[in-house]
Amino acid sequence: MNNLSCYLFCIQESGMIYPLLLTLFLAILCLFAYFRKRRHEFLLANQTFMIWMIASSILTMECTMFNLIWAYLGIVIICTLLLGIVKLSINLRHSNLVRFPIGIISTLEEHFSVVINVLDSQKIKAYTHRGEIYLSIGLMERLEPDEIMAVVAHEVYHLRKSPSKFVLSVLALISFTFLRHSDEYHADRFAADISGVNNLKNALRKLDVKDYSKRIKQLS
Amino acid sequence: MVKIERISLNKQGLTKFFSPNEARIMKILWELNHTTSAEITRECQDLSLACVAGTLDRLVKSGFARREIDQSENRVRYIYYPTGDRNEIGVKISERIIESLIDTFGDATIDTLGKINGRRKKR
Repeated sequence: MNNLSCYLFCIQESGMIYPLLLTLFLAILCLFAYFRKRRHEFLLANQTFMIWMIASSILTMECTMFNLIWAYLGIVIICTLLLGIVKLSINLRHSNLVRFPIGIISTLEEHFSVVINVLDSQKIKAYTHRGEIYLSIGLMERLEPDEIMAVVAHEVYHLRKSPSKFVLSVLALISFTFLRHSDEYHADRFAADISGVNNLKNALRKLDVKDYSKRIKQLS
Repeated sequence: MVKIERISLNKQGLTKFFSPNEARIMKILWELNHTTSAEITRECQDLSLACVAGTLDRLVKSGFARREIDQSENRVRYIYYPTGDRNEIGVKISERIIESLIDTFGDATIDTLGKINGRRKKR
C-alpha cells in the first residue's frame, strides 16, 4: 500500500495524471475496437499505448522507494529471455527433416514460392518457422492433395501477412496485456479463397483442430 | 519392448500382451508383411485413421514394427513392416518376461521352467 500511495503521489506531483488518464482511455478504446473484430492491428495499438503509459510513469518517477517498477522490469527481462530460449529450442528441434522433391510438395513450393520441409513424424504438425513451412508425414498421410494445399495456403498467410508472434509476445509481456486471438480467421479466409472452402473444412475436420466448429462457422 | 505392467494374463490371445487395437494391427502386419495406415484403416473400418496411425506409432516406438518413408504415386507416406514374424515376437516377449521373473525370484523361476518343460515332454 505504501508503494501504491507513493506511486500515486509521484504521478500527481509530476503533473502526468491527465496525459496518463488520456492514454488509459485510448487504450480502453483500442481494446473495445479489438473486441469489435479489428484483431491484431488494434491489439498492437493497445499495447503501444500501455507501453507508453508505463514508460512515462517510469520517466516521471521521483520516488526512490518504488520497487515495483524494478520488479516489473525484472519480470519482463526474465520472461523475454525465456521466450528466447523457447525460440532457440524450436530451432534445435528440426533434426528429423526429410528433404527430397516429393510430387505435391514441389508443386506447392512452386505455386506459393515458399520452401516446404517435411518432418519425419507420425504426429499431425503444420507450422511456419524462419520463413519456411513445415509439414509432417502424419499430416500428409491423412489429407488429400487439395486439403494439403489448403493447409499450406493457411500457413503461407501466416508467413506473409501475420506479425511476428515473438514480437507480439514480448509486447504482451511488457504491457501486461495478452494475445487473446491470433489471426487464424484471416488465414482460414485466405486458404479458403485459394483452395476452396470445402477443402479447408475437410482439412480442419480431419486434423481435429481446436475451435473447429467456430472456425467453420466463421467461414460460412 | 512389451511392458511387464501392461501384461494381463486373464485376457485372451495377443491381448494379454498388446492392447486390443495393437493386437488387431499386429495381426494385419503379420498377414500382409508390409502395409500403410490407410490400408489398415480399410481393414478395420471401426477404427479412425488417426487411431490407426497413433497405434502404429506406439508399435514402432516399442520395437514391434518399423516404418520406411515411401514417396511413390506423387505422395509421401509411411510403409509399415513387422520387426519379426509371430514366433520371433513371441520369443522376444518370453525372454523379457522370463528375465524379469528370474530377476525377481532367481532359481525358483529356473526350477519351475525345468519342471514345466519336464511335464510337457512326458505328455
